[in-house]
Amino acid sequence: MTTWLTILGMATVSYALRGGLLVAGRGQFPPWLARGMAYVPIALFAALALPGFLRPQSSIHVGPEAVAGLVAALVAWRTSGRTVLVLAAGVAAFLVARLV
Amino acid sequence: MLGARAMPQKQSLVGSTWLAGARATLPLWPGGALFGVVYAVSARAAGLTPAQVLGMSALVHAGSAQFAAVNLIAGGAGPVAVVLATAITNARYLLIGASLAPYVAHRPRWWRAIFAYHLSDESYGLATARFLAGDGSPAYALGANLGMAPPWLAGAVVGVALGAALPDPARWGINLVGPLIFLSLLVPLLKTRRAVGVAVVSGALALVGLATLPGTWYLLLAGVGGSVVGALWERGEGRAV
Repeated sequence: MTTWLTILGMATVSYALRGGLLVAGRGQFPPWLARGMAYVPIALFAALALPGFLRPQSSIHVGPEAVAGLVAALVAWRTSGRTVLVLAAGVAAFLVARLV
Repeated sequence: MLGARAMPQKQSLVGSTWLAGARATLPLWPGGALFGVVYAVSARAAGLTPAQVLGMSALVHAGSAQFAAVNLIAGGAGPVAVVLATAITNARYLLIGASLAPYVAHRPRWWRAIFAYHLSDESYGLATARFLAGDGSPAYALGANLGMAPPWLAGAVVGVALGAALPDPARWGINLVGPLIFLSLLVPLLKTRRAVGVAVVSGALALVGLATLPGTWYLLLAGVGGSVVGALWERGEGRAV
C-alpha cells in the first residue's frame, strides 16, 4: 500500500513538472527569457550527448566511446545530421575502437 | 489547377503526422527496452510486486527517476523521500516544458494535457529538431512522445518475467544510441560561433554537474547555464541565433 502511494506521488510530481508550463502556459515569454529559451535545445542536446562519449562510466574517460563520438560528429557535420548514418557510423566506430 | 497543386502539399503534411514522430523513435527502442528490463529487474530486487513494477513505468514514465526511486526503496526510504527524489530528478522537465510550450500553445488544453504525459528527453529532442528545421508539428511531437512508451513498458514486462541480471549492454554500444541521436540533432544547429560556444559551455557544465550534483541535475545546470551564456553573448553582439 505504501509503495502504491509512493508511485502515485511520483506520478503526480512528474506530471506536474512535465505539464505545468505546457498546460497552463500561453507559450509567450518576455523578450529576455525568450532570448535565453532559444538556446535551450542546443544546451540540452549538448548536455545529453557529450557525457555519453566522455564519461561512459562514472569518471571522464577518453576511450572507444570518445572515438565513436568524434566519428559520429564528423558524419553528422558532413550529412547535416542524418540520424541513421550518424548512428551507424558511431556504433561501428565504437565496435572497431573497442577491438583495437 | 489549384486543387491539383494542393494535393502533394497535403501529402507531405501527412508525412509529418504523429506516425512519423513515432517512427522517428524506432532507433531508440532497443536501448529504451533494455533500460526498462534493467529497471524492472532492480525494482523486483527492491521488493516491488510485478504490478507495482509495471504500474510505476506506466504512471511515472521516467527512467532515471524510477531508478533512483527503486534504489531508495531498496535502502528503506519512505514515500516522502522517494517523491522528493523524483521531483529533483525530473526538475529538468520544467525547462523542457518551457522550451516546447510555444510550439504547442495553439493546441487545446486537453491536447496539451495528454501531450505532457509521455514527454521524454528523447521525444523532446526529436520534436524540437523538427520544429527548429521548420517542418515540425505538434502531431509529430505527440507521436514521438507516444513512440517512446512501448519499448519502455515492454522492457519492464520482460524484466519482470526474466527476474535476473542481464549481460552488459554497454559492450555492444547500445547505450551510445541515445548520445548519438542527440549529437545528430545538435550538429545541424551549430551554425554560428555563438551556437558552438553554447554547446561547448553546456557540455562542460554537464560534465562538471555529473561529477558534483545528484541525479540528473547536470541537465538542468547545463540547460540553464548554456542558455544564459547564449543570451548574454547575443546581447553583447546584438544579433539573433
